[in-house]
Amino acid sequence: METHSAFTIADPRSWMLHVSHIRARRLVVFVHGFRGRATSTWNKFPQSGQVGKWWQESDMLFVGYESMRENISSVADRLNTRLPHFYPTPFAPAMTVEGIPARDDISSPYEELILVGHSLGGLIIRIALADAAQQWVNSQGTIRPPLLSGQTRLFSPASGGFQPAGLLRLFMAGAMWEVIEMYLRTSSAYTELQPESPTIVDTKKRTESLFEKTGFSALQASILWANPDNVVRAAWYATDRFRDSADGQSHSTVCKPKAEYLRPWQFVEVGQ
Amino acid sequence: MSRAQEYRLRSFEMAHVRPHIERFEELGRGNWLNNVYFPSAWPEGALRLFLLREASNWIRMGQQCGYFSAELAPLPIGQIRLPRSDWGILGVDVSHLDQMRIQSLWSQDWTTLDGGDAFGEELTLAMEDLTDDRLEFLRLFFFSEETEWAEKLVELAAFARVVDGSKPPFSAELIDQVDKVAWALQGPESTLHEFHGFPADWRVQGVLGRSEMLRAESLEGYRNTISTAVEWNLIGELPDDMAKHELDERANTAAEQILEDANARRAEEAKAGTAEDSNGSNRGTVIGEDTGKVTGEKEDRMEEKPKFRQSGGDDIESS
Repeated sequence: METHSAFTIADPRSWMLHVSHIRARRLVVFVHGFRGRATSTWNKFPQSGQVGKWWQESDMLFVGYESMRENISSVADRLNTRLPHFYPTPFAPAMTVEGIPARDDISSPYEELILVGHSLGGLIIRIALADAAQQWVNSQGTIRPPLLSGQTRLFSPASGGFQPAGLLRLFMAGAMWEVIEMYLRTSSAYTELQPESPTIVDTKKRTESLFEKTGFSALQASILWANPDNVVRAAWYATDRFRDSADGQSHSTVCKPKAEYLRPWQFVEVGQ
Repeated sequence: MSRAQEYRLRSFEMAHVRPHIERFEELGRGNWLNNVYFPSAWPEGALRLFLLREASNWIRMGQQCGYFSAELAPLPIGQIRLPRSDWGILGVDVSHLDQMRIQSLWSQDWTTLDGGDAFGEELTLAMEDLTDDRLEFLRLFFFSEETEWAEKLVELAAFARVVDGSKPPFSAELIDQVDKVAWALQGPESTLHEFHGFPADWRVQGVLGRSEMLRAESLEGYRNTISTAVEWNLIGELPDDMAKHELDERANTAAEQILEDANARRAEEAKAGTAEDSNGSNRGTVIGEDTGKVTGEKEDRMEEKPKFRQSGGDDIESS
Protein backbone atom coordinates (compact mmCIF):
# COMPACT_ATOMS: atom_id res chain seq x y z
CA MET A 1 0.00 0.00 0.00
CA GLU A 2 1.56 3.25 -1.15
CA THR A 3 1.30 5.98 1.46
CA HIS A 4 3.32 8.58 -0.46
CA SER A 5 3.60 9.85 -4.03
CA ALA A 6 6.72 11.06 -5.80
CA PHE A 7 6.73 14.67 -6.95
CA THR A 8 9.62 15.65 -9.21
CA ILE A 9 10.81 19.19 -8.55
CA ALA A 10 11.67 21.22 -11.63
CA ASP A 11 13.96 23.64 -9.84
CA PRO A 12 16.31 22.69 -8.26
CA ARG A 13 16.70 19.85 -10.72
CA SER A 14 17.17 16.38 -9.28
CA TRP A 15 15.30 17.14 -6.09
CA MET A 16 12.33 14.94 -5.38
CA LEU A 17 9.63 15.21 -2.77
CA HIS A 18 7.78 12.13 -1.57
CA VAL A 19 4.48 13.56 -0.44
CA SER A 20 2.40 11.89 2.25
CA HIS A 21 -1.32 11.62 1.63
CA ILE A 22 -2.12 12.29 5.26
CA ARG A 23 -1.23 15.29 7.40
CA ALA A 24 2.59 15.53 7.47
CA ARG A 25 4.05 16.60 10.79
CA ARG A 26 7.65 16.62 9.70
CA LEU A 27 9.98 16.99 6.76
CA VAL A 28 12.86 14.52 6.44
CA VAL A 29 15.60 15.77 4.12
CA PHE A 30 17.99 13.22 2.57
CA VAL A 31 21.35 14.21 1.02
CA HIS A 32 23.19 11.40 -0.77
CA GLY A 33 26.92 10.74 -1.03
CA PHE A 34 29.66 10.43 -3.65
CA ARG A 35 27.78 8.14 -5.88
CA GLY A 36 24.19 8.03 -6.32
CA ARG A 37 21.09 9.76 -7.21
CA ALA A 38 18.52 11.51 -5.13
CA THR A 39 16.45 8.47 -4.15
CA SER A 40 18.17 5.28 -5.31
CA THR A 41 21.00 5.77 -2.79
CA TRP A 42 18.52 5.26 -0.01
CA ASN A 43 17.12 1.88 -1.00
CA LYS A 44 13.80 1.42 0.85
CA PHE A 45 13.63 4.84 2.53
CA PRO A 46 11.22 6.19 -0.12
CA GLN A 47 8.83 3.39 0.89
CA SER A 48 9.14 4.19 4.59
CA GLY A 49 5.42 4.81 4.91
CA GLN A 50 5.07 1.05 5.23
CA VAL A 51 7.23 1.06 8.37
CA GLY A 52 4.95 2.96 10.69
CA LYS A 53 2.97 6.04 11.60
CA TRP A 54 6.02 8.27 12.20
CA TRP A 55 6.98 7.81 8.57
CA GLN A 56 3.43 8.09 7.27
CA GLU A 57 3.30 11.51 8.89
CA SER A 58 6.52 12.57 7.16
CA ASP A 59 7.16 14.16 3.80
CA MET A 60 10.55 13.13 2.44
CA LEU A 61 12.71 15.48 0.42
CA PHE A 62 15.47 13.76 -1.56
CA VAL A 63 18.17 16.20 -2.56
CA GLY A 64 20.03 15.29 -5.74
CA TYR A 65 23.28 16.75 -7.07
CA GLU A 66 26.17 15.67 -9.26
CA SER A 67 28.86 14.63 -6.83
CA MET A 68 31.58 14.32 -9.45
CA ARG A 69 30.94 17.68 -11.07
CA GLU A 70 29.47 20.16 -8.64
CA ASN A 71 31.32 22.22 -6.08
CA ILE A 72 30.34 20.85 -2.69
CA SER A 73 30.09 24.31 -1.14
CA SER A 74 27.62 25.26 -3.87
CA VAL A 75 25.49 22.22 -3.06
CA ALA A 76 25.54 23.28 0.60
CA ASP A 77 24.56 26.82 -0.43
CA ARG A 78 21.67 25.50 -2.48
CA LEU A 79 20.42 23.45 0.45
CA ASN A 80 20.54 26.52 2.66
CA THR A 81 18.93 28.94 0.26
CA ARG A 82 16.22 26.63 -1.12
CA LEU A 83 15.10 24.97 2.08
CA PRO A 84 12.85 27.92 3.04
CA HIS A 85 10.65 26.93 0.06
CA PHE A 86 10.12 23.53 1.68
CA TYR A 87 10.16 24.22 5.42
CA PRO A 88 8.34 25.04 7.62
CA THR A 89 5.48 25.48 5.12
CA PRO A 90 5.09 22.52 2.73
CA PHE A 91 6.30 23.11 -0.84
CA ALA A 92 3.24 24.66 -2.49
CA PRO A 93 3.66 23.34 -6.07
CA ALA A 94 3.64 19.78 -4.73
CA MET A 95 0.61 20.25 -2.54
CA THR A 96 -1.81 20.66 -5.45
CA VAL A 97 -1.21 19.20 -8.91
CA GLU A 98 -3.62 20.30 -11.63
CA GLY A 99 -6.29 21.00 -9.08
CA ILE A 100 -5.80 17.74 -7.19
CA PRO A 101 -4.66 18.29 -3.58
CA ALA A 102 -2.14 15.86 -2.15
CA ARG A 103 -4.08 15.60 1.13
CA ASP A 104 -6.78 17.28 3.17
CA ASP A 105 -4.39 19.56 5.03
CA ILE A 106 -1.93 21.09 2.60
CA SER A 107 -1.05 24.25 4.47
CA SER A 108 -0.25 23.45 8.09
CA PRO A 109 3.43 23.95 8.78
CA TYR A 110 5.63 21.03 9.70
CA GLU A 111 6.51 20.59 13.37
CA GLU A 112 9.91 18.97 12.86
CA LEU A 113 12.84 18.96 10.45
CA ILE A 114 15.16 15.95 10.23
CA LEU A 115 18.39 16.23 8.21
CA VAL A 116 19.86 12.95 6.98
CA GLY A 117 23.17 12.71 5.14
CA HIS A 118 25.29 9.88 3.87
CA SER A 119 29.02 10.11 3.22
CA LEU A 120 29.71 13.27 1.20
CA GLY A 121 26.10 14.26 1.90
CA GLY A 122 27.02 14.31 5.60
CA LEU A 123 29.78 16.81 4.97
CA ILE A 124 27.46 18.91 2.80
CA ILE A 125 24.93 19.10 5.64
CA ARG A 126 27.70 20.05 8.08
CA ILE A 127 28.88 22.86 5.78
CA ALA A 128 25.30 24.08 5.22
CA LEU A 129 24.62 24.12 8.96
CA ALA A 130 27.81 26.04 9.73
CA ASP A 131 26.93 28.57 7.00
CA ALA A 132 23.40 28.91 8.43
CA ALA A 133 24.71 29.45 11.97
CA GLN A 134 27.20 32.01 10.68
CA GLN A 135 24.37 33.82 8.93
CA TRP A 136 22.46 33.93 12.22
CA VAL A 137 25.52 35.33 14.02
CA ASN A 138 26.18 37.90 11.28
CA SER A 139 22.59 39.08 11.42
CA GLN A 140 22.87 39.38 15.22
CA GLY A 141 20.09 36.88 15.62
CA THR A 142 17.61 38.56 13.33
CA ILE A 143 17.81 35.96 10.55
CA ARG A 144 17.32 32.35 11.52
CA PRO A 145 17.69 30.01 8.51
CA PRO A 146 15.23 27.09 8.70
CA LEU A 147 18.09 24.59 8.54
CA LEU A 148 18.93 25.51 12.13
CA SER A 149 15.66 23.94 13.26
CA GLY A 150 16.89 20.53 12.11
CA GLN A 151 17.89 17.40 13.93
CA THR A 152 20.97 15.98 12.25
CA ARG A 153 21.54 12.28 11.52
CA LEU A 154 24.58 11.22 9.53
CA PHE A 155 25.55 7.85 8.08
CA SER A 156 29.35 7.48 7.78
CA PRO A 157 29.87 11.19 7.04
CA ALA A 158 32.92 12.21 5.03
CA SER A 159 33.80 14.81 7.68
CA GLY A 160 37.36 13.45 7.91
CA GLY A 161 37.89 13.04 4.18
CA PHE A 162 38.91 9.96 2.25
CA GLN A 163 40.95 7.13 3.63
CA PRO A 164 44.30 6.85 1.79
CA ALA A 165 42.90 4.22 -0.58
CA GLY A 166 39.29 5.38 -0.20
CA LEU A 167 38.84 6.53 -3.77
CA LEU A 168 40.27 3.26 -5.05
CA ARG A 169 37.89 1.33 -2.79
CA LEU A 170 34.95 3.31 -4.19
CA PHE A 171 36.24 2.61 -7.69
CA MET A 172 36.39 -1.11 -7.02
CA ALA A 173 33.06 -1.21 -5.19
CA GLY A 174 31.12 -0.28 -8.30
CA ALA A 175 31.35 3.50 -8.39
CA MET A 176 34.00 3.20 -11.08
CA TRP A 177 32.70 5.78 -13.53
CA GLU A 178 31.83 8.34 -10.88
CA VAL A 179 35.37 8.03 -9.53
CA ILE A 180 36.82 8.28 -13.03
CA GLU A 181 34.97 11.51 -13.69
CA MET A 182 35.75 12.88 -10.23
CA TYR A 183 39.42 12.11 -10.80
CA LEU A 184 39.75 13.36 -14.36
CA ARG A 185 37.89 16.56 -13.56
CA THR A 186 39.91 17.04 -10.37
CA SER A 187 36.50 17.81 -8.97
CA SER A 188 35.63 19.61 -5.77
CA ALA A 189 34.73 16.34 -4.06
CA TYR A 190 38.12 14.94 -5.04
CA THR A 191 40.23 17.85 -3.84
CA GLU A 192 38.23 18.92 -0.81
CA LEU A 193 38.02 15.43 0.62
CA GLN A 194 41.75 14.93 0.84
CA PRO A 195 42.53 14.52 4.55
CA GLU A 196 43.29 17.82 6.29
CA SER A 197 42.00 19.82 3.32
CA PRO A 198 40.94 23.39 4.22
CA THR A 199 37.28 22.37 3.86
CA ILE A 200 37.65 19.42 6.22
CA VAL A 201 39.55 21.42 8.82
CA ASP A 202 37.48 24.62 8.58
CA THR A 203 34.11 22.90 8.74
CA LYS A 204 35.06 21.17 11.98
CA LYS A 205 36.46 24.37 13.54
CA ARG A 206 33.51 26.47 12.45
CA THR A 207 30.94 23.96 13.69
CA GLU A 208 32.54 23.65 17.13
CA SER A 209 33.03 27.36 17.53
CA LEU A 210 29.56 28.29 16.27
CA PHE A 211 27.97 25.78 18.61
CA GLU A 212 29.80 27.47 21.51
CA LYS A 213 28.36 30.80 20.41
CA THR A 214 24.84 29.80 19.43
CA GLY A 215 23.98 26.49 21.07
CA PHE A 216 21.92 25.37 18.05
CA SER A 217 21.24 21.68 18.50
CA ALA A 218 21.22 21.19 14.73
CA LEU A 219 25.03 21.46 14.95
CA GLN A 220 25.08 18.36 17.17
CA ALA A 221 24.98 15.37 14.86
CA SER A 222 24.06 11.80 15.62
CA ILE A 223 26.30 9.46 13.64
CA LEU A 224 26.01 5.84 12.56
CA TRP A 225 29.27 4.52 11.15
CA ALA A 226 29.67 1.58 8.84
CA ASN A 227 31.93 -1.10 10.25
CA PRO A 228 34.18 -1.73 8.46
CA ASP A 229 34.35 1.47 6.43
CA ASN A 230 37.24 1.52 3.99
CA VAL A 231 36.21 4.64 2.09
CA VAL A 232 36.16 7.56 4.54
CA ARG A 233 38.11 8.30 7.72
CA ALA A 234 36.13 8.17 10.94
CA ALA A 235 36.31 11.65 12.43
CA TRP A 236 34.22 13.23 15.16
CA TYR A 237 33.39 16.76 16.14
CA ALA A 238 33.36 17.74 19.80
CA THR A 239 29.75 18.76 19.27
CA ASP A 240 28.46 15.35 18.11
CA ARG A 241 25.76 14.07 20.43
CA PHE A 242 25.67 10.34 19.59
CA ARG A 243 27.74 7.85 17.68
CA ASP A 244 27.56 4.14 17.08
CA SER A 245 28.54 1.67 14.41
CA ALA A 246 26.59 -0.82 12.35
CA ASP A 247 28.68 -3.97 12.32
CA GLY A 248 28.80 -5.84 9.06
CA GLN A 249 27.65 -2.84 7.04
CA SER A 250 29.91 -1.25 4.45
CA HIS A 251 30.24 2.39 3.54
CA SER A 252 27.63 1.90 0.81
CA THR A 253 25.12 -0.22 2.68
CA VAL A 254 25.09 1.51 6.08
CA CYS A 255 22.31 3.90 4.99
CA LYS A 256 20.18 1.39 3.11
CA PRO A 257 17.34 -0.09 5.14
CA LYS A 258 15.75 -3.37 4.18
CA ALA A 259 13.82 -6.18 5.83
CA GLU A 260 16.99 -7.70 7.33
CA TYR A 261 18.53 -4.36 8.32
CA LEU A 262 16.06 -2.06 10.08
CA ARG A 263 18.58 0.10 11.94
CA PRO A 264 18.58 3.01 9.45
CA TRP A 265 14.85 3.57 9.99
CA GLN A 266 15.26 3.54 13.76
CA PHE A 267 18.33 5.78 13.59
CA VAL A 268 16.59 8.45 11.53
CA GLU A 269 13.48 8.30 13.67
CA VAL A 270 15.03 8.55 17.13
CA GLY A 271 18.60 9.65 16.42
CA GLN A 272 20.29 6.64 17.99
CA MET B 1 -11.69 6.95 -6.93
CA SER B 2 -8.66 7.61 -4.75
CA ARG B 3 -7.31 11.13 -4.70
CA ALA B 4 -3.80 9.71 -4.25
CA GLN B 5 -4.13 7.74 -7.50
CA GLU B 6 -5.24 10.85 -9.38
CA TYR B 7 -2.48 12.92 -7.84
CA ARG B 8 0.13 10.35 -8.88
CA LEU B 9 -1.07 10.22 -12.45
CA ARG B 10 -1.03 13.97 -12.97
CA SER B 11 2.25 14.36 -11.12
CA PHE B 12 3.87 11.67 -13.28
CA GLU B 13 2.56 13.23 -16.47
CA MET B 14 3.80 16.65 -15.46
CA ALA B 15 7.35 15.41 -14.81
CA HIS B 16 7.77 12.59 -17.31
CA VAL B 17 5.34 13.05 -20.16
CA ARG B 18 4.94 16.75 -20.86
CA PRO B 19 8.70 17.47 -21.14
CA HIS B 20 9.05 14.82 -23.88
CA ILE B 21 6.06 16.18 -25.74
CA GLU B 22 7.44 19.71 -25.52
CA ARG B 23 10.85 18.57 -26.70
CA PHE B 24 9.28 16.59 -29.50
CA GLU B 25 7.43 19.67 -30.62
CA GLU B 26 10.60 21.77 -30.42
CA LEU B 27 12.17 19.33 -32.85
CA GLY B 28 9.79 20.63 -35.45
CA ARG B 29 7.21 17.92 -35.35
CA GLY B 30 4.29 20.23 -34.80
CA ASN B 31 1.46 18.10 -33.51
CA TRP B 32 3.17 15.19 -31.79
CA LEU B 33 0.13 13.01 -32.29
CA ASN B 34 0.28 13.49 -36.04
CA ASN B 35 1.79 10.25 -37.25
CA VAL B 36 4.06 11.76 -39.87
CA TYR B 37 7.74 11.40 -39.43
CA PHE B 38 10.61 13.35 -40.95
CA PRO B 39 14.35 12.76 -40.81
CA SER B 40 14.95 16.22 -39.37
CA ALA B 41 13.76 15.00 -35.97
CA TRP B 42 16.07 11.98 -36.04
CA PRO B 43 17.60 10.63 -33.83
CA GLU B 44 16.33 12.56 -30.83
CA GLY B 45 12.76 12.36 -32.07
CA ALA B 46 13.03 8.57 -32.06
CA LEU B 47 14.32 8.58 -28.49
CA ARG B 48 11.49 10.85 -27.37
CA LEU B 49 8.95 8.62 -29.12
CA PHE B 50 10.27 5.61 -27.24
CA LEU B 51 10.26 7.48 -23.93
CA LEU B 52 6.66 8.53 -24.54
CA ARG B 53 5.79 4.96 -25.43
CA GLU B 54 7.48 3.81 -22.23
CA ALA B 55 5.56 6.41 -20.22
CA SER B 56 2.32 5.19 -21.75
CA ASN B 57 3.22 1.62 -20.73
CA TRP B 58 3.98 2.74 -17.17
CA ILE B 59 0.60 4.44 -16.98
CA ARG B 60 -1.30 1.43 -18.29
CA MET B 61 0.57 -0.93 -16.00
CA GLY B 62 0.09 1.42 -13.05
CA GLN B 63 -3.62 1.61 -13.72
CA GLN B 64 -3.78 -2.18 -13.73
CA CYS B 65 -2.13 -2.50 -10.33
CA GLY B 66 -3.99 0.43 -8.77
CA TYR B 67 -1.06 2.82 -8.49
CA PHE B 68 -2.53 5.30 -10.95
CA SER B 69 -6.16 6.26 -11.28
CA ALA B 70 -7.92 4.18 -13.95
CA GLU B 71 -10.83 6.60 -14.15
CA LEU B 72 -8.98 9.80 -14.84
CA ALA B 73 -8.13 10.05 -18.55
CA PRO B 74 -4.38 10.21 -19.14
CA LEU B 75 -2.79 12.36 -21.83
CA PRO B 76 -3.41 10.56 -25.14
CA ILE B 77 0.13 9.27 -25.58
CA GLY B 78 -1.17 5.74 -25.96
CA GLN B 79 -2.16 6.70 -29.49
CA ILE B 80 1.33 7.41 -30.81
CA ARG B 81 2.66 4.95 -33.36
CA LEU B 82 5.99 4.04 -34.81
CA PRO B 83 6.20 4.86 -38.52
CA ARG B 84 5.01 1.75 -40.31
CA SER B 85 7.29 1.92 -43.30
CA ASP B 86 10.92 0.93 -43.46
CA TRP B 87 12.81 3.71 -41.73
CA GLY B 88 15.48 3.62 -44.42
CA ILE B 89 13.17 5.30 -46.92
CA LEU B 90 13.02 8.34 -44.67
CA GLY B 91 16.57 9.13 -45.69
CA VAL B 92 17.99 8.13 -42.35
CA ASP B 93 20.75 5.56 -42.15
CA VAL B 94 19.48 3.22 -39.50
CA SER B 95 21.03 0.11 -40.97
CA HIS B 96 22.49 -0.75 -37.56
CA LEU B 97 19.05 -1.09 -36.04
CA ASP B 98 17.36 -4.43 -35.72
CA GLN B 99 13.94 -3.22 -36.80
CA MET B 100 12.22 -6.44 -35.85
CA ARG B 101 13.53 -6.05 -32.35
CA ILE B 102 12.58 -2.39 -32.20
CA GLN B 103 9.06 -3.19 -33.35
CA SER B 104 8.83 -5.99 -30.84
CA LEU B 105 9.97 -3.74 -27.98
CA TRP B 106 7.52 -1.11 -29.09
CA SER B 107 4.58 -3.48 -29.26
CA GLN B 108 5.01 -5.29 -25.97
CA ASP B 109 1.82 -5.28 -23.91
CA TRP B 110 2.71 -4.39 -20.34
CA THR B 111 -0.83 -4.56 -19.05
CA THR B 112 -0.55 -8.34 -18.86
CA LEU B 113 2.07 -8.03 -16.13
CA ASP B 114 1.24 -7.19 -12.56
CA GLY B 115 3.41 -4.37 -11.22
CA GLY B 116 2.38 -5.30 -7.70
CA ASP B 117 3.78 -3.66 -4.60
CA ALA B 118 7.08 -2.88 -6.29
CA PHE B 119 5.51 -0.68 -8.96
CA GLY B 120 6.02 2.70 -7.29
CA GLU B 121 9.62 1.95 -6.36
CA GLU B 122 10.46 0.68 -9.85
CA LEU B 123 8.83 3.69 -11.47
CA THR B 124 10.86 6.10 -9.34
CA LEU B 125 14.10 4.27 -10.10
CA ALA B 126 13.36 4.13 -13.81
CA MET B 127 12.69 7.86 -14.02
CA GLU B 128 15.74 8.70 -11.94
CA ASP B 129 17.83 6.62 -14.30
CA LEU B 130 17.23 9.15 -17.09
CA THR B 131 20.07 11.55 -16.37
CA ASP B 132 21.37 13.86 -19.09
CA ASP B 133 24.35 11.59 -19.76
CA ARG B 134 22.14 8.56 -19.95
CA LEU B 135 19.68 10.22 -22.33
CA GLU B 136 22.53 11.18 -24.61
CA PHE B 137 23.90 7.66 -24.46
CA LEU B 138 20.50 6.17 -25.33
CA ARG B 139 20.08 8.63 -28.20
CA LEU B 140 23.47 7.78 -29.66
CA PHE B 141 23.59 4.09 -28.97
CA PHE B 142 20.11 3.12 -30.09
CA PHE B 143 19.18 5.69 -32.67
CA SER B 144 22.11 7.67 -34.10
CA GLU B 145 23.09 7.29 -37.72
CA GLU B 146 26.37 5.59 -38.51
CA THR B 147 28.10 8.86 -39.39
CA GLU B 148 27.34 10.50 -36.05
CA TRP B 149 28.24 7.35 -34.13
CA ALA B 150 31.58 7.14 -35.95
CA GLU B 151 32.33 10.80 -35.15
CA LYS B 152 31.58 10.24 -31.48
CA LEU B 153 33.84 7.20 -31.38
CA VAL B 154 36.70 9.18 -32.93
CA GLU B 155 36.26 11.75 -30.16
CA LEU B 156 36.25 9.01 -27.54
CA ALA B 157 39.32 7.35 -29.03
CA ALA B 158 41.20 10.64 -28.87
CA PHE B 159 40.19 11.08 -25.25
CA ALA B 160 41.26 7.52 -24.40
CA ARG B 161 44.70 8.30 -25.86
CA VAL B 162 44.97 11.45 -23.73
CA VAL B 163 44.28 9.65 -20.46
CA ASP B 164 46.13 6.41 -21.29
CA GLY B 165 49.24 6.98 -19.22
CA SER B 166 49.86 9.40 -16.42
CA LYS B 167 47.04 11.74 -15.42
CA PRO B 168 46.88 14.69 -17.79
CA PRO B 169 47.41 18.02 -16.05
CA PHE B 170 44.25 19.82 -14.95
CA SER B 171 43.10 22.28 -17.58
CA ALA B 172 39.93 23.80 -18.95
CA GLU B 173 40.63 21.88 -22.15
CA LEU B 174 40.65 18.58 -20.28
CA ILE B 175 37.33 19.39 -18.59
CA ASP B 176 35.91 20.29 -21.98
CA GLN B 177 37.06 16.92 -23.31
CA VAL B 178 35.50 15.08 -20.35
CA ASP B 179 32.23 16.94 -21.00
CA LYS B 180 32.24 15.83 -24.63
CA VAL B 181 32.66 12.13 -23.80
CA ALA B 182 30.58 12.08 -20.61
CA TRP B 183 27.86 10.16 -22.49
CA ALA B 184 30.34 7.26 -22.82
CA LEU B 185 31.52 7.36 -19.21
CA GLN B 186 28.45 7.33 -17.01
CA GLY B 187 25.88 7.19 -19.79
CA PRO B 188 26.03 3.41 -20.27
CA GLU B 189 25.64 2.87 -16.52
CA SER B 190 22.12 2.17 -15.39
CA THR B 191 20.74 1.82 -11.89
CA LEU B 192 18.10 -0.55 -13.23
CA HIS B 193 18.36 -4.30 -13.20
CA GLU B 194 18.25 -6.12 -16.50
CA PHE B 195 14.95 -7.78 -17.30
CA HIS B 196 13.25 -6.37 -14.24
CA GLY B 197 9.87 -6.88 -15.88
CA PHE B 198 8.90 -3.22 -16.19
CA PRO B 199 8.49 -0.89 -19.16
CA ALA B 200 12.04 0.52 -18.88
CA ASP B 201 13.52 -2.82 -19.91
CA TRP B 202 14.16 -1.67 -23.46
CA ARG B 203 16.84 0.76 -22.29
CA VAL B 204 18.87 -1.55 -20.09
CA GLN B 205 20.37 -3.44 -23.00
CA GLY B 206 19.20 -6.86 -21.99
CA VAL B 207 19.12 -8.29 -25.49
CA LEU B 208 20.96 -6.50 -28.24
CA GLY B 209 20.68 -6.84 -31.99
CA ARG B 210 23.80 -7.93 -33.86
CA SER B 211 24.75 -4.45 -35.08
CA GLU B 212 24.10 -2.95 -31.64
CA MET B 213 26.48 -5.58 -30.31
CA LEU B 214 29.15 -4.16 -32.60
CA ARG B 215 28.52 -0.69 -31.23
CA ALA B 216 28.69 -1.99 -27.69
CA GLU B 217 31.96 -3.78 -28.33
CA SER B 218 33.70 -0.79 -29.86
CA LEU B 219 32.50 1.44 -27.04
CA GLU B 220 33.61 -1.01 -24.40
CA GLY B 221 37.14 -1.14 -25.79
CA TYR B 222 37.68 2.58 -25.23
CA ARG B 223 35.98 2.49 -21.84
CA ASN B 224 38.34 -0.28 -20.74
CA THR B 225 41.34 1.80 -21.78
CA ILE B 226 40.08 4.77 -19.76
CA SER B 227 39.12 2.81 -16.64
CA THR B 228 42.40 0.86 -16.60
CA ALA B 229 44.41 4.07 -16.95
CA VAL B 230 42.58 5.75 -14.08
CA GLU B 231 42.87 2.68 -11.86
CA TRP B 232 46.64 2.53 -12.35
CA ASN B 233 46.91 6.25 -11.67
CA LEU B 234 44.96 5.87 -8.43
CA ILE B 235 47.28 3.05 -7.35
CA GLY B 236 50.29 5.15 -8.33
CA GLU B 237 49.16 7.91 -5.98
CA LEU B 238 49.11 5.64 -2.93
CA PRO B 239 51.93 5.45 -0.41
CA ASP B 240 54.50 2.82 -1.53
CA ASP B 241 53.47 0.05 0.86
CA MET B 242 49.79 0.40 0.02
CA ALA B 243 50.51 0.54 -3.70
CA LYS B 244 52.53 -2.67 -3.40
CA HIS B 245 49.66 -4.33 -1.56
CA GLU B 246 47.21 -3.29 -4.30
CA LEU B 247 49.52 -4.57 -7.04
CA ASP B 248 49.98 -7.90 -5.24
CA GLU B 249 46.22 -8.26 -4.93
CA ARG B 250 45.72 -7.65 -8.63
CA ALA B 251 48.50 -10.09 -9.53
CA ASN B 252 46.86 -12.78 -7.39
CA THR B 253 43.45 -12.10 -8.89
CA ALA B 254 44.87 -12.24 -12.41
CA ALA B 255 46.63 -15.54 -11.67
CA GLU B 256 43.43 -17.02 -10.28
CA GLN B 257 41.53 -15.85 -13.34
CA ILE B 258 44.05 -17.38 -15.73
CA LEU B 259 43.81 -20.67 -13.86
CA GLU B 260 40.02 -20.55 -13.87
CA ASP B 261 39.91 -19.77 -17.60
CA ALA B 262 42.31 -22.60 -18.38
CA ASN B 263 40.22 -25.06 -16.38
CA ALA B 264 37.03 -23.90 -18.05
CA ARG B 265 38.65 -24.25 -21.48
CA ARG B 266 39.88 -27.76 -20.68
CA ALA B 267 36.41 -28.73 -19.46
CA GLU B 268 34.83 -27.34 -22.64
CA GLU B 269 37.33 -29.14 -24.84
CA ALA B 270 36.70 -32.38 -23.02
CA LYS B 271 32.93 -31.90 -23.40
CA ALA B 272 33.28 -31.03 -27.09
CA GLY B 273 35.47 -34.10 -27.60
CA THR B 274 32.78 -36.29 -26.08
CA ALA B 275 30.08 -34.69 -28.22
CA GLU B 276 32.20 -35.13 -31.35
CA ASP B 277 32.76 -38.78 -30.51
CA SER B 278 29.05 -39.44 -30.09
CA ASN B 279 27.84 -37.39 -33.11
CA GLY B 280 30.68 -38.07 -35.42
CA SER B 281 31.23 -34.33 -35.92
CA ASN B 282 31.41 -31.07 -34.04
CA ARG B 283 29.31 -28.62 -35.99
CA GLY B 284 29.20 -25.64 -33.61
CA THR B 285 26.39 -23.25 -34.45
CA VAL B 286 23.45 -24.98 -36.08
CA ILE B 287 22.29 -23.51 -39.37
CA GLY B 288 18.67 -24.15 -40.19
CA GLU B 289 18.71 -26.30 -43.34
CA ASP B 290 15.69 -24.78 -45.01
CA THR B 291 16.09 -21.09 -44.22
CA GLY B 292 19.75 -20.66 -43.50
CA LYS B 293 18.79 -18.87 -40.30
CA VAL B 294 21.30 -19.05 -37.50
CA THR B 295 19.25 -20.78 -34.85
CA GLY B 296 21.92 -20.55 -32.15
CA GLU B 297 22.07 -16.79 -32.47
CA LYS B 298 20.08 -15.78 -29.42
CA GLU B 299 22.08 -17.95 -27.05
CA ASP B 300 25.31 -16.57 -28.50
CA ARG B 301 24.12 -13.01 -27.97
CA MET B 302 23.24 -13.68 -24.38
CA GLU B 303 26.62 -15.20 -23.61
CA GLU B 304 28.72 -12.65 -25.39
CA LYS B 305 26.93 -9.43 -24.61
CA PRO B 306 29.23 -6.75 -23.29
CA LYS B 307 28.59 -5.67 -19.76
CA PHE B 308 28.24 -1.95 -19.25
CA ARG B 309 26.62 -1.82 -15.91
CA GLN B 310 28.68 -1.97 -12.77
CA SER B 311 25.81 -1.51 -10.39
CA GLY B 312 23.65 -4.22 -8.95
CA GLY B 313 26.28 -6.20 -7.08
CA ASP B 314 26.26 -7.05 -3.41
CA ASP B 315 27.88 -3.96 -2.06
CA ILE B 316 27.93 -1.77 -5.06
CA GLU B 317 24.78 0.19 -4.87
CA SER B 318 24.85 3.93 -4.74
CA SER B 319 26.81 5.48 -1.95
